[in-house]
Amino acid sequence: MTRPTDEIDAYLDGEPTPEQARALQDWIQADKANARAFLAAVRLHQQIGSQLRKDRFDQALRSTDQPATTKDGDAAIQALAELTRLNEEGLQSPVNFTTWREEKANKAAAEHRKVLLTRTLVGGAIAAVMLLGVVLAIVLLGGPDNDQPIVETPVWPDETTPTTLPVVATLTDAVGAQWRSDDKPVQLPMGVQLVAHERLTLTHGFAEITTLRGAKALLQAPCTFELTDHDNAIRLHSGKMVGKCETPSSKGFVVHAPGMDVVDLGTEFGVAADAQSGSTVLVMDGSVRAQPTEQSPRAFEPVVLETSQARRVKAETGSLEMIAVTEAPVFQADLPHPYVASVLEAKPVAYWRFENDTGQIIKSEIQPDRDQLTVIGNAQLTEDGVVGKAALLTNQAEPYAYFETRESIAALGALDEYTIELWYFTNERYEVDKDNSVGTLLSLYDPEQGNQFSDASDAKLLSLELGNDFWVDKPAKWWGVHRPPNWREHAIRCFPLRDLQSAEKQEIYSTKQYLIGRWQHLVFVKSTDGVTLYLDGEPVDQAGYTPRMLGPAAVRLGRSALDVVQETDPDAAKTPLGHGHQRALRGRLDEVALYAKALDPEQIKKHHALATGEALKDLID
Amino acid sequence: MTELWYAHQPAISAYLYAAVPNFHDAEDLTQQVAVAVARDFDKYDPDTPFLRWAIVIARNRVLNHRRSFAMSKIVFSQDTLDALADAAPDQQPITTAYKAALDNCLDQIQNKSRQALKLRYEEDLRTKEIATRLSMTANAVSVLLHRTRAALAECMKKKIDSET
Repeated sequence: MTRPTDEIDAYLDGEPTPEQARALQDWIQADKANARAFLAAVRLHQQIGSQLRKDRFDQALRSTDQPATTKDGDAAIQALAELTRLNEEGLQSPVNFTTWREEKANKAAAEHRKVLLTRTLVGGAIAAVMLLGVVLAIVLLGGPDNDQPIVETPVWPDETTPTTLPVVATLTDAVGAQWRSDDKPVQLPMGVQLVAHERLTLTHGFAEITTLRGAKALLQAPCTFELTDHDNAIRLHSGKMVGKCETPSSKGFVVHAPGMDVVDLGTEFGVAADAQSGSTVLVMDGSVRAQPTEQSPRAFEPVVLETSQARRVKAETGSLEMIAVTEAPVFQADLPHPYVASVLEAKPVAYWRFENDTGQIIKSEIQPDRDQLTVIGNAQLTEDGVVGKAALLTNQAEPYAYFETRESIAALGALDEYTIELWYFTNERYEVDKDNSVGTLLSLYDPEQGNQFSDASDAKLLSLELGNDFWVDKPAKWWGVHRPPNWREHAIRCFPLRDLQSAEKQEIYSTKQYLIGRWQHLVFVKSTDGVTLYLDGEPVDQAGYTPRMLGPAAVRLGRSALDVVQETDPDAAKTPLGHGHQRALRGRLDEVALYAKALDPEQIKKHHALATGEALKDLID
Repeated sequence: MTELWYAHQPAISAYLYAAVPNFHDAEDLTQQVAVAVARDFDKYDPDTPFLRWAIVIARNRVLNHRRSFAMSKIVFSQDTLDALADAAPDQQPITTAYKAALDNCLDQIQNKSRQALKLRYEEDLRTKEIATRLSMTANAVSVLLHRTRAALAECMKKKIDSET
């Protein structure tokens, strides 16, 4: 039973419906862990209140003109007691409390207006004098060279928005949302009411709109839509959305898409629209009716679709055809974490989040029927990821566990630019005299090459590893590596050895040690200038060389491609690699993304900030 | 006894607040439980965990006061109260790190999120009243409070993890 966050919040805010109360109690009683989790949520709720009230009390004491004395302290306590009494009275007789608060607020507003009026009068006088000065300056010295007006993003709705049209929906949530209306950027404040026939484009992020009847439309950018004059409908001109109809009043929600109307029969469903190619509907839960539009009422016979069924209308024919679920677009069914939204916006070619509950396959968020990771060994999922779940590799002994795609990532061809992004967590200090000398985070390798190389430096692979300090003292001959002068122990190493262009032996290392016991963000960027390694949002090393790993690449996580290459072909000549089985990660991996482009430093920094909560304001405002 | 009480008071208080969703009722009950613990402390067996013993007293107080829950929209069933009482002694203590993390993370909250928190926790307003004050819909206020609490919890976890 998943954590009932809505029910817990409703309880904490004193407003659960009977259904929510029942669901909450069922959840608490189902497992002692749930009861503990509920108590922890209540405790946080209490502590927030205690801290804020304490801050206000302290502020009240500090704001008095007289030094704090026992008498003042008593007075403050008496004031709080009076406030508490009035609050209690307010709970019993809301009218009195509201009247009391309104009187206070009106008085404060009147005082504020007096101040504003005074400032306006004084400011106006000063402005008039300044304006006279500016006019004189222009007359005497000539006008400004720069005639460009200062453009600020207007807050929608503006004075051009018709006010006589009916309100049909509300913007109820958003993550990273940016908007355009009539092809100009606009800001939509949370909770803004939306009127019929207004056409809006969501250019970035995700947004949730709720109709007057309670149906929710979760929109994913880029998306253009329009509200109709119906209180439970939306017109999707282009883009993707998920419809959720969870209350009885919201049933019958209609999505008008090019070539097709989708009518909810009590469900969760996704619709993707494109004016050129047509529309697709996928039912995630419940059922919908797909029917022709009013413009083409005889294009096809209406059909009821059940869970996991999908249909597509082609724009050129207008006919409805059945499609496999795997052919349908990927729909985001819930507002994602801002970090996830930001990664998706950067358009990775593969993105593994390790949120799957079962099975031996980890799907990519980008195209779930492609670029799947196969789970080898007893790798597990753990709840304490960076966002949601993470992969857990314990690897205390053979056989070692890891993940791999087996086949090449289709979108990673011969690229001049690409980026690898991942999060890792380890408690291990990798040492050569232990049975695990290197913790491989990720390897890209050419599955066609197999083990047809005589030296590791000829291997077509790129590996990000957590290293050790052994090599400082004893460079292993088969590595043939020369340490750069800024080599640090316990660093992150990017391993290939030989530059493709110059054939020189090069590597890059982080100039910071990797840390144990905490999640760290690692990004490897290959651009036309060379390669850069970023750790926790900051660049830590750079080199102007081209890795040998170019062309189609398969992915292995948690284990070096070199190790397994030996194992899969025992009859082939062994490569003189040494430490063959000792490059397995002991730790966690999460949010692994590959991009067919170079991410810029600001984007990398933003990703790190969004995941670590350093951008708390961005997260919640 | 004082040391034992202060060490476990947050856990007892959390149980009472979970059982009695009205803040002021929960505060009153906490005081009553404190008095009962002080009065009966000579009957406390030191071989029993203090928190477990105090929770039994708290549970009885809750049962005695159920008739005064007319203000609440929800009254937990006996089974739910028992489940909470059973889990209450397992709560982690409120450490200095927890309080410091809360203080630090609260300081980072600004603008409308901070306004909503102050209206909810300092003035004990409901979502509709907060919505009126902030010119938002009640649903948007619910979402805002939910996201703010989730962000606070996440911020605190990361701060506490980085300290340990």
